[in-house]
Amino acid sequence: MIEILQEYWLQLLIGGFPHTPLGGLALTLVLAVSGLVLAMPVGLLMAVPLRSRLKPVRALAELIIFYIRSVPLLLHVLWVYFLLPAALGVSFPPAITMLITLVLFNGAYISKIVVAGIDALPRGQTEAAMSLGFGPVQTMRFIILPQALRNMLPSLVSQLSLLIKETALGAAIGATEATQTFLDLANNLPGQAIQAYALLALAYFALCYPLLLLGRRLERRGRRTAKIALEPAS
Amino acid sequence: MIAISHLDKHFDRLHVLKDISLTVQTGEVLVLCGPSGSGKTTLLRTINGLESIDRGSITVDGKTIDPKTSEIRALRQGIGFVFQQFNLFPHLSVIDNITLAPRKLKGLTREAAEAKAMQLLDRVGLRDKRDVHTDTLSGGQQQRIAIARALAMEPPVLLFDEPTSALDPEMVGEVLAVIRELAQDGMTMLCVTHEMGFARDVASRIIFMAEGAIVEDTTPAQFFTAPESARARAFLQDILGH
Repeated sequence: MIEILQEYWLQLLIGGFPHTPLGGLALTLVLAVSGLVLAMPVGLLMAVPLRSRLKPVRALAELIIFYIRSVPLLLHVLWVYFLLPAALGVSFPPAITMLITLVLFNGAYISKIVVAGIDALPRGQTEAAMSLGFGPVQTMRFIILPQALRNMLPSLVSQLSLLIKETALGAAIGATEATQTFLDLANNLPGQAIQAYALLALAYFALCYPLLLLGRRLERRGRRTAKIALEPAS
Repeated sequence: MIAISHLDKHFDRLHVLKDISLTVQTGEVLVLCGPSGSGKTTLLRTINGLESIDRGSITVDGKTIDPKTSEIRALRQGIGFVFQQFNLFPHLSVIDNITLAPRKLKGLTREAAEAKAMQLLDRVGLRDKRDVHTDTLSGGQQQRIAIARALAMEPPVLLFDEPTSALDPEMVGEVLAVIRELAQDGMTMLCVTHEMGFARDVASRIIFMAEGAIVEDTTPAQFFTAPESARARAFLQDILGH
Protein backbone atom coordinates (compact mmCIF):
# COMPACT_ATOMS: atom_id res chain seq x y z
CA MET A 1 0.00 0.00 0.00
CA ILE A 2 2.81 2.35 0.89
CA GLU A 3 4.38 1.69 -2.50
CA ILE A 4 1.17 2.52 -4.29
CA LEU A 5 1.01 5.78 -2.38
CA GLN A 6 4.62 6.62 -3.06
CA GLU A 7 4.22 5.90 -6.74
CA TYR A 8 0.77 7.32 -7.50
CA TRP A 9 -0.01 9.90 -4.78
CA LEU A 10 -0.16 12.80 -7.19
CA GLN A 11 -2.53 10.99 -9.53
CA LEU A 12 -4.77 9.95 -6.64
CA LEU A 13 -4.83 13.50 -5.37
CA ILE A 14 -5.51 15.45 -8.58
CA GLY A 15 -5.95 12.88 -11.39
CA GLY A 16 -4.28 13.74 -14.69
CA PHE A 17 -4.34 17.49 -13.91
CA PRO A 18 -3.10 19.74 -15.52
CA HIS A 19 -3.08 17.63 -18.70
CA THR A 20 -6.67 16.49 -18.15
CA PRO A 21 -9.48 18.15 -16.18
CA LEU A 22 -9.05 18.06 -12.39
CA GLY A 23 -9.70 14.61 -10.90
CA GLY A 24 -8.95 12.39 -7.95
CA LEU A 25 -9.60 13.34 -4.34
CA ALA A 26 -9.35 17.03 -5.26
CA LEU A 27 -12.32 16.68 -7.61
CA THR A 28 -14.23 14.79 -4.92
CA LEU A 29 -13.65 17.65 -2.50
CA VAL A 30 -14.47 20.34 -5.03
CA LEU A 31 -17.70 18.52 -5.96
CA ALA A 32 -18.69 18.06 -2.31
CA VAL A 33 -17.95 21.61 -1.18
CA SER A 34 -19.35 23.39 -4.22
CA GLY A 35 -22.27 20.96 -4.11
CA LEU A 36 -23.13 22.00 -0.57
CA VAL A 37 -22.50 25.70 -1.20
CA LEU A 38 -24.88 25.66 -4.17
CA ALA A 39 -27.38 23.26 -2.59
CA MET A 40 -27.87 25.67 0.33
CA PRO A 41 -29.54 28.47 -1.67
CA VAL A 42 -31.37 25.88 -3.79
CA GLY A 43 -32.63 24.23 -0.60
CA LEU A 44 -33.77 27.61 0.75
CA LEU A 45 -35.60 28.32 -2.52
CA MET A 46 -37.23 24.88 -2.50
CA ALA A 47 -38.38 25.53 1.08
CA VAL A 48 -40.38 28.59 0.00
CA PRO A 49 -43.19 26.69 -1.80
CA LEU A 50 -43.13 24.07 0.98
CA ARG A 51 -44.32 26.78 3.37
CA SER A 52 -46.66 28.48 0.90
CA ARG A 53 -50.12 29.44 2.11
CA LEU A 54 -51.62 28.00 -1.07
CA LYS A 55 -52.35 24.34 -0.65
CA PRO A 56 -51.85 23.29 -4.31
CA VAL A 57 -48.43 24.96 -4.37
CA ARG A 58 -47.48 23.18 -1.17
CA ALA A 59 -48.75 19.84 -2.43
CA LEU A 60 -46.87 20.12 -5.72
CA ALA A 61 -43.63 21.07 -3.96
CA GLU A 62 -44.09 18.18 -1.52
CA LEU A 63 -44.63 15.79 -4.42
CA ILE A 64 -41.54 16.91 -6.34
CA ILE A 65 -39.33 16.77 -3.27
CA PHE A 66 -40.82 13.44 -2.27
CA TYR A 67 -39.98 12.10 -5.72
CA ILE A 68 -36.41 13.38 -5.58
CA ARG A 69 -35.92 11.82 -2.17
CA SER A 70 -37.45 8.46 -3.01
CA VAL A 71 -35.51 7.67 -6.19
CA PRO A 72 -31.92 6.38 -5.98
CA LEU A 73 -29.31 9.03 -6.61
CA LEU A 74 -27.75 6.89 -9.36
CA LEU A 75 -30.98 7.15 -11.33
CA HIS A 76 -30.98 10.94 -10.99
CA VAL A 77 -27.38 10.98 -12.21
CA LEU A 78 -28.38 9.02 -15.30
CA TRP A 79 -31.43 11.21 -15.90
CA VAL A 80 -29.38 14.38 -15.82
CA TYR A 81 -26.62 12.75 -17.84
CA PHE A 82 -28.91 11.70 -20.68
CA LEU A 83 -31.85 14.05 -20.42
CA LEU A 84 -30.24 17.42 -19.93
CA PRO A 85 -28.17 17.35 -23.15
CA ALA A 86 -31.22 16.08 -25.04
CA ALA A 87 -33.42 18.82 -23.63
CA LEU A 88 -30.97 21.72 -23.87
CA GLY A 89 -28.95 20.61 -26.86
CA VAL A 90 -25.66 21.13 -25.03
CA SER A 91 -23.65 18.50 -23.27
CA PHE A 92 -21.83 19.08 -20.03
CA PRO A 93 -18.61 17.52 -18.83
CA PRO A 94 -19.28 14.61 -16.42
CA ALA A 95 -18.14 16.62 -13.39
CA ILE A 96 -20.67 19.37 -14.11
CA THR A 97 -23.44 16.83 -14.70
CA MET A 98 -22.57 15.34 -11.34
CA LEU A 99 -22.58 18.74 -9.67
CA ILE A 100 -26.02 19.64 -11.05
CA THR A 101 -27.43 16.34 -9.83
CA LEU A 102 -25.89 16.68 -6.39
CA VAL A 103 -27.20 20.22 -6.01
CA LEU A 104 -30.77 19.26 -6.90
CA PHE A 105 -30.71 16.08 -4.84
CA ASN A 106 -29.21 17.69 -1.76
CA GLY A 107 -31.30 20.82 -2.24
CA ALA A 108 -34.37 18.63 -1.79
CA TYR A 109 -33.02 17.23 1.47
CA ILE A 110 -31.85 20.64 2.68
CA SER A 111 -35.28 22.16 1.97
CA LYS A 112 -36.71 19.69 4.47
CA ILE A 113 -34.01 20.59 7.00
CA VAL A 114 -34.80 24.29 6.49
CA VAL A 115 -38.53 23.80 7.00
CA ALA A 116 -37.91 21.75 10.14
CA GLY A 117 -35.48 24.41 11.42
CA ILE A 118 -38.02 27.19 10.85
CA ASP A 119 -40.94 25.28 12.31
CA ALA A 120 -38.94 24.44 15.43
CA LEU A 121 -38.76 28.13 16.42
CA PRO A 122 -41.44 29.35 18.80
CA ARG A 123 -44.33 31.22 17.18
CA GLY A 124 -43.61 34.13 19.51
CA GLN A 125 -40.49 35.03 17.50
CA THR A 126 -42.55 35.73 14.38
CA GLU A 127 -45.18 37.56 16.39
CA ALA A 128 -42.62 39.74 18.16
CA ALA A 129 -41.08 40.71 14.81
CA MET A 130 -44.47 41.41 13.24
CA SER A 131 -45.60 43.45 16.23
CA LEU A 132 -42.62 45.77 15.69
CA GLY A 133 -43.69 46.32 12.08
CA PHE A 134 -41.50 43.85 10.20
CA GLY A 135 -43.03 42.32 7.07
CA PRO A 136 -42.88 38.58 6.34
CA VAL A 137 -39.68 38.76 4.27
CA GLN A 138 -37.84 40.95 6.79
CA THR A 139 -39.02 38.73 9.64
CA MET A 140 -37.60 35.73 7.82
CA ARG A 141 -34.32 37.47 7.05
CA PHE A 142 -33.55 39.21 10.35
CA ILE A 143 -35.27 37.04 12.95
CA ILE A 144 -36.17 33.56 11.76
CA LEU A 145 -33.45 32.41 9.34
CA PRO A 146 -30.47 33.42 11.50
CA GLN A 147 -31.87 31.31 14.33
CA ALA A 148 -33.03 28.46 12.09
CA LEU A 149 -29.66 28.26 10.32
CA ARG A 150 -27.88 27.96 13.63
CA ASN A 151 -30.20 25.12 14.64
CA MET A 152 -29.66 23.48 11.26
CA LEU A 153 -25.84 23.42 11.45
CA PRO A 154 -25.48 19.84 12.78
CA SER A 155 -27.84 18.52 10.08
CA LEU A 156 -25.99 20.47 7.39
CA VAL A 157 -22.65 19.06 8.48
CA SER A 158 -23.98 15.52 8.28
CA GLN A 159 -25.44 16.38 4.87
CA LEU A 160 -21.93 17.38 3.75
CA SER A 161 -20.52 14.03 4.78
CA LEU A 162 -23.28 12.32 2.79
CA LEU A 163 -22.43 14.55 -0.16
CA ILE A 164 -18.77 13.53 -0.06
CA LYS A 165 -19.77 9.90 -0.34
CA GLU A 166 -22.37 10.60 -3.03
CA THR A 167 -19.71 12.04 -5.32
CA ALA A 168 -18.51 8.44 -5.78
CA LEU A 169 -21.40 7.92 -8.19
CA GLY A 170 -19.56 10.21 -10.58
CA ALA A 171 -17.69 7.05 -11.52
CA ALA A 172 -20.86 5.84 -13.25
CA ILE A 173 -20.69 8.62 -15.83
CA GLY A 174 -16.94 8.90 -16.11
CA ALA A 175 -16.24 11.83 -13.81
CA THR A 176 -12.70 11.12 -12.69
CA GLU A 177 -13.31 11.79 -9.00
CA ALA A 178 -11.63 9.71 -6.33
CA THR A 179 -13.50 6.45 -6.90
CA GLN A 180 -13.00 6.53 -10.68
CA THR A 181 -9.33 7.35 -10.18
CA PHE A 182 -8.85 4.40 -7.87
CA LEU A 183 -10.79 2.10 -10.21
CA ASP A 184 -8.45 3.10 -13.02
CA LEU A 185 -5.48 2.54 -10.77
CA ALA A 186 -6.68 -0.92 -9.71
CA ASN A 187 -7.03 -1.84 -13.38
CA ASN A 188 -3.44 -0.84 -14.00
CA LEU A 189 -2.08 -2.72 -11.00
CA PRO A 190 -3.11 -6.38 -11.41
CA GLY A 191 -3.20 -8.20 -8.07
CA GLN A 192 -3.21 -5.02 -6.01
CA ALA A 193 -6.90 -4.14 -6.29
CA ILE A 194 -7.56 -4.86 -2.62
CA GLN A 195 -4.79 -2.52 -1.53
CA ALA A 196 -6.06 0.21 -3.86
CA TYR A 197 -9.64 -0.09 -2.59
CA ALA A 198 -8.44 -0.10 1.01
CA LEU A 199 -6.66 3.18 0.32
CA LEU A 200 -9.84 4.58 -1.22
CA ALA A 201 -11.85 3.59 1.84
CA LEU A 202 -9.26 5.24 4.07
CA ALA A 203 -9.43 8.41 2.02
CA TYR A 204 -13.23 8.70 2.39
CA PHE A 205 -12.94 7.90 6.05
CA ALA A 206 -10.33 10.61 6.56
CA LEU A 207 -12.65 13.14 4.90
CA CYS A 208 -15.85 12.18 6.69
CA TYR A 209 -14.71 11.28 10.19
CA PRO A 210 -13.74 14.85 11.19
CA LEU A 211 -17.13 16.02 9.93
CA LEU A 212 -18.82 13.41 12.08
CA LEU A 213 -16.94 14.69 15.11
CA LEU A 214 -17.75 18.29 14.22
CA GLY A 215 -21.44 17.45 13.82
CA ARG A 216 -21.51 15.77 17.21
CA ARG A 217 -19.87 18.76 18.83
CA LEU A 218 -22.28 21.23 17.22
CA GLU A 219 -25.20 19.11 18.39
CA ARG A 220 -23.94 19.10 21.97
CA ARG A 221 -23.44 22.85 21.86
CA GLY A 222 -26.91 23.35 20.38
CA ARG A 223 -28.47 21.28 23.15
CA ARG A 224 -26.65 23.31 25.77
CA THR A 225 -27.80 26.70 24.47
CA ALA A 226 -31.34 25.39 23.97
CA LYS A 227 -31.35 24.37 27.61
CA ILE A 228 -30.20 27.78 28.77
CA ALA A 229 -32.90 29.42 26.69
CA LEU A 230 -35.57 27.25 28.29
CA GLU A 231 -34.45 27.96 31.83
CA PRO A 232 -33.66 31.66 32.21
CA ALA A 233 -31.25 32.27 35.06
CA SER A 234 -33.03 33.69 38.06
CA MET B 1 -57.36 57.32 19.68
CA ILE B 2 -58.47 53.66 19.58
CA ALA B 3 -61.99 52.93 18.46
CA ILE B 4 -63.36 49.41 18.40
CA SER B 5 -66.84 48.98 17.06
CA HIS B 6 -69.07 45.90 17.10
CA LEU B 7 -66.18 43.49 16.90
CA ASP B 8 -66.90 39.77 16.58
CA LYS B 9 -64.41 36.94 16.41
CA HIS B 10 -64.65 33.17 16.32
CA PHE B 11 -62.06 30.44 16.76
CA ASP B 12 -63.79 27.82 14.64
CA ARG B 13 -67.12 27.34 16.44
CA LEU B 14 -66.06 29.17 19.58
CA HIS B 15 -67.39 32.73 19.73
CA VAL B 16 -64.44 34.37 21.54
CA LEU B 17 -65.34 38.05 21.14
CA LYS B 18 -68.96 39.13 21.12
CA ASP B 19 -69.97 42.53 19.80
CA ILE B 20 -67.15 44.44 21.49
CA SER B 21 -67.23 48.23 21.32
CA LEU B 22 -64.64 50.30 23.11
CA THR B 23 -62.98 53.68 22.71
CA VAL B 24 -59.71 54.71 24.30
CA GLN B 25 -58.55 58.32 24.60
CA THR B 26 -54.94 59.46 24.44
CA GLY B 27 -53.26 59.14 27.82
CA GLU B 28 -55.73 56.61 29.22
CA VAL B 29 -54.47 53.49 30.98
CA LEU B 30 -56.90 50.61 30.59
CA VAL B 31 -56.60 47.41 32.56
CA LEU B 32 -58.39 44.45 30.99
CA CYS B 33 -59.25 41.76 33.46
CA GLY B 34 -61.55 38.80 33.77
CA PRO B 35 -61.47 35.05 34.19
CA SER B 36 -59.26 33.05 31.83
CA GLY B 37 -60.95 32.38 28.52
CA SER B 38 -62.87 35.63 28.70
CA GLY B 39 -61.24 36.91 25.49
CA LYS B 40 -59.14 39.74 26.93
CA THR B 41 -55.84 38.57 25.39
CA THR B 42 -57.54 37.92 22.05
CA LEU B 43 -59.04 41.41 22.11
CA LEU B 44 -55.62 42.93 22.83
CA ARG B 45 -54.07 40.95 19.96
CA THR B 46 -56.70 42.14 17.46
CA ILE B 47 -55.69 45.76 18.14
CA ASN B 48 -52.19 44.97 16.84
CA GLY B 49 -53.51 42.83 13.99
CA LEU B 50 -51.99 39.68 15.46
CA GLU B 51 -55.51 38.22 15.28
CA SER B 52 -57.97 38.81 12.46
CA ILE B 53 -61.57 39.73 13.18
CA ASP B 54 -64.77 38.41 11.63
CA ARG B 55 -66.97 41.50 11.92
CA GLY B 56 -66.79 45.07 13.12
CA SER B 57 -63.86 47.45 12.92
CA ILE B 58 -60.82 48.67 14.80
CA THR B 59 -59.23 52.03 14.12
CA VAL B 60 -56.15 53.52 15.69
CA ASP B 61 -55.79 57.27 15.08
CA GLY B 62 -58.47 56.93 12.45
CA LYS B 63 -56.66 54.22 10.50
CA THR B 64 -58.26 50.80 10.11
CA ILE B 65 -56.41 47.79 11.52
CA ASP B 66 -56.63 44.88 9.10
CA PRO B 67 -53.92 42.19 9.15
CA LYS B 68 -54.67 41.28 5.54
CA THR B 69 -53.51 44.65 4.19
CA SER B 70 -49.89 45.68 3.77
CA GLU B 71 -50.53 48.97 5.61
CA ILE B 72 -50.67 46.92 8.80
CA ARG B 73 -46.86 46.96 8.98
CA ALA B 74 -46.66 50.73 9.19
CA LEU B 75 -49.54 50.84 11.67
CA ARG B 76 -47.92 48.23 13.93
CA GLN B 77 -44.86 50.46 14.25
CA GLY B 78 -47.10 52.82 16.18
CA ILE B 79 -48.61 50.15 18.44
CA GLY B 80 -46.10 48.56 20.78
CA PHE B 81 -46.79 45.06 22.06
CA VAL B 82 -45.31 43.38 25.12
CA PHE B 83 -45.78 39.61 25.33
CA GLN B 84 -46.33 37.34 28.29
CA GLN B 85 -43.34 35.24 27.20
CA PHE B 86 -41.12 38.30 26.42
CA ASN B 87 -40.17 36.88 22.99
CA LEU B 88 -36.78 38.54 22.90
CA PHE B 89 -34.63 37.58 19.91
CA PRO B 90 -32.14 35.08 21.37
CA HIS B 91 -29.62 35.39 18.53
CA LEU B 92 -29.10 39.10 19.22
CA SER B 93 -27.51 40.98 22.10
CA VAL B 94 -29.64 43.22 24.30
CA ILE B 95 -28.71 46.38 22.41
CA ASP B 96 -29.37 44.73 19.02
CA ASN B 97 -32.76 43.52 20.22
CA ILE B 98 -33.67 47.14 20.88
CA THR B 99 -32.06 48.76 17.82
CA LEU B 100 -33.00 46.23 15.10
CA ALA B 101 -36.44 47.64 14.35
CA PRO B 102 -35.51 51.36 14.45
CA ARG B 103 -32.54 50.69 12.18
CA LYS B 104 -34.26 48.45 9.65
CA LEU B 105 -37.71 50.03 9.69
CA LYS B 106 -37.05 53.69 10.44
CA GLY B 107 -33.67 53.90 8.75
CA LEU B 108 -31.87 55.16 11.86
CA THR B 109 -28.09 54.93 11.81
CA ARG B 110 -26.54 52.50 14.26
CA GLU B 111 -25.20 55.43 16.34
CA ALA B 112 -28.56 57.17 16.56
CA ALA B 113 -30.42 53.94 17.34
CA GLU B 114 -27.91 52.96 20.02
CA ALA B 115 -28.00 56.38 21.66
CA LYS B 116 -31.77 56.12 21.88
CA ALA B 117 -31.51 52.52 23.12
CA MET B 118 -29.17 53.55 25.91
CA GLN B 119 -31.73 56.09 27.11
CA LEU B 120 -34.32 53.33 27.15
CA LEU B 121 -31.98 50.97 28.99
CA ASP B 122 -31.52 53.69 31.59
CA ARG B 123 -35.26 54.02 31.85
CA VAL B 124 -35.72 50.29 32.58
CA GLY B 125 -32.64 50.26 34.81
CA LEU B 126 -30.51 47.88 32.72
CA ARG B 127 -27.79 50.09 31.28
CA ASP B 128 -25.07 47.59 32.25
CA LYS B 129 -26.73 44.76 30.28
CA ARG B 130 -26.16 46.44 26.93
CA ASP B 131 -23.93 43.77 25.37
CA VAL B 132 -25.03 40.58 27.09
CA HIS B 133 -26.98 37.77 25.49
CA THR B 134 -30.63 37.69 26.38
CA ASP B 135 -30.53 34.10 27.67
CA THR B 136 -28.32 35.15 30.58
CA LEU B 137 -31.01 37.54 31.88
CA SER B 138 -33.66 36.80 34.48
CA GLY B 139 -37.30 36.81 33.44
CA GLY B 140 -37.88 40.23 34.97
CA GLN B 141 -34.87 41.64 33.14
CA GLN B 142 -35.99 40.07 29.86
CA GLN B 143 -39.41 41.64 30.19
CA ARG B 144 -37.90 45.06 30.91
CA ILE B 145 -35.76 44.70 27.77
CA ALA B 146 -38.87 43.69 25.85
CA ILE B 147 -40.55 46.90 27.02
CA ALA B 148 -37.50 48.92 25.94
CA ARG B 149 -37.61 47.15 22.56
CA ALA B 150 -41.25 48.14 22.08
CA LEU B 151 -40.55 51.72 23.19
CA ALA B 152 -37.69 52.06 20.71
CA MET B 153 -40.21 52.52 17.89
CA GLU B 154 -41.72 55.40 19.88
CA PRO B 155 -45.26 54.08 19.61
CA PRO B 156 -48.08 56.33 20.87
CA VAL B 157 -49.81 53.21 22.29
CA LEU B 158 -48.47 50.23 24.22
CA LEU B 159 -50.29 46.94 24.64
CA PHE B 160 -49.31 44.57 27.46
CA ASP B 161 -50.43 40.95 27.38
CA GLU B 162 -50.11 39.61 30.93
CA PRO B 163 -46.60 41.08 31.23
CA THR B 164 -45.91 39.55 34.66
CA SER B 165 -47.69 36.18 34.41
CA ALA B 166 -44.58 34.26 33.35
CA LEU B 167 -42.41 35.76 36.08
CA ASP B 168 -41.30 34.45 39.45
CA PRO B 169 -43.11 36.44 42.16
CA GLU B 170 -40.03 38.36 43.26
CA MET B 171 -39.60 39.82 39.77
CA VAL B 172 -43.14 41.07 39.28
CA GLY B 173 -42.45 44.32 41.12
CA GLU B 174 -39.56 45.48 38.95
CA VAL B 175 -41.61 45.07 35.76
CA LEU B 176 -44.70 46.73 37.20
CA ALA B 177 -42.56 49.65 38.37
CA VAL B 178 -41.46 50.26 34.77
CA ILE B 179 -45.04 50.13 33.50
CA ARG B 180 -46.19 52.39 36.33
CA GLU B 181 -43.62 54.99 35.32
CA LEU B 182 -44.78 54.86 31.71
CA ALA B 183 -48.32 55.50 32.89
CA GLN B 184 -47.17 58.50 34.88
CA ASP B 185 -45.46 59.87 31.77
CA GLY B 186 -48.81 59.89 30.03
CA MET B 187 -48.36 56.86 27.75
CA THR B 188 -51.58 55.42 26.36
CA MET B 189 -51.72 51.79 27.48
CA LEU B 190 -53.92 48.73 27.51
CA CYS B 191 -52.82 46.05 29.91
CA VAL B 192 -54.19 42.56 30.43
CA THR B 193 -53.23 41.56 33.95
CA HIS B 194 -54.25 39.71 37.08
CA GLU B 195 -52.30 42.14 39.30
CA MET B 196 -55.25 43.82 40.96
CA GLY B 197 -53.18 46.05 43.24
CA PHE B 198 -51.44 47.44 40.17
CA ALA B 199 -54.80 47.86 38.41
CA ARG B 200 -56.21 49.81 41.33
CA ASP B 201 -53.24 52.19 41.47
CA VAL B 202 -52.43 52.73 37.83
CA ALA B 203 -55.53 52.20 35.72
CA SER B 204 -57.73 55.07 34.69
CA ARG B 205 -60.36 52.56 33.55
CA ILE B 206 -61.05 48.91 34.27
CA ILE B 207 -62.54 46.76 31.54
CA PHE B 208 -63.96 43.58 33.01
CA MET B 209 -64.64 40.83 30.48
CA ALA B 210 -66.39 37.49 30.74
CA GLU B 211 -67.24 34.95 28.04
CA GLY B 212 -66.12 37.20 25.20
CA ALA B 213 -68.08 40.29 26.19
CA ILE B 214 -67.33 43.48 28.11
CA VAL B 215 -69.31 43.21 31.31
CA GLU B 216 -68.09 46.33 33.10
CA ASP B 217 -66.30 49.45 31.89
CA THR B 218 -65.72 51.59 34.91
CA THR B 219 -63.25 53.37 37.20
CA PRO B 220 -60.98 51.38 39.52
CA ALA B 221 -62.62 52.96 42.57
CA GLN B 222 -66.04 51.82 41.43
CA PHE B 223 -64.84 48.39 40.29
CA PHE B 224 -63.00 47.45 43.45
CA THR B 225 -65.47 48.84 45.98
CA ALA B 226 -68.83 48.31 44.31
CA PRO B 227 -68.73 46.11 41.20
CA GLU B 228 -72.12 46.10 39.51
CA SER B 229 -72.27 42.57 38.12
CA ALA B 230 -72.40 39.33 40.03
CA ARG B 231 -69.67 38.01 37.71
CA ALA B 232 -67.27 40.78 38.66
CA ARG B 233 -68.00 40.25 42.34
CA ALA B 234 -67.28 36.52 42.00
CA PHE B 235 -64.09 37.24 40.04
CA LEU B 236 -62.81 39.69 42.63
CA GLN B 237 -63.60 37.31 45.42
CA ASP B 238 -61.65 34.53 43.69
CA ILE B 239 -58.65 36.63 42.85
CA LEU B 240 -58.41 38.62 46.06
CA GLY B 241 -59.06 35.53 48.14
CA HIS B 242 -61.71 36.78 50.51
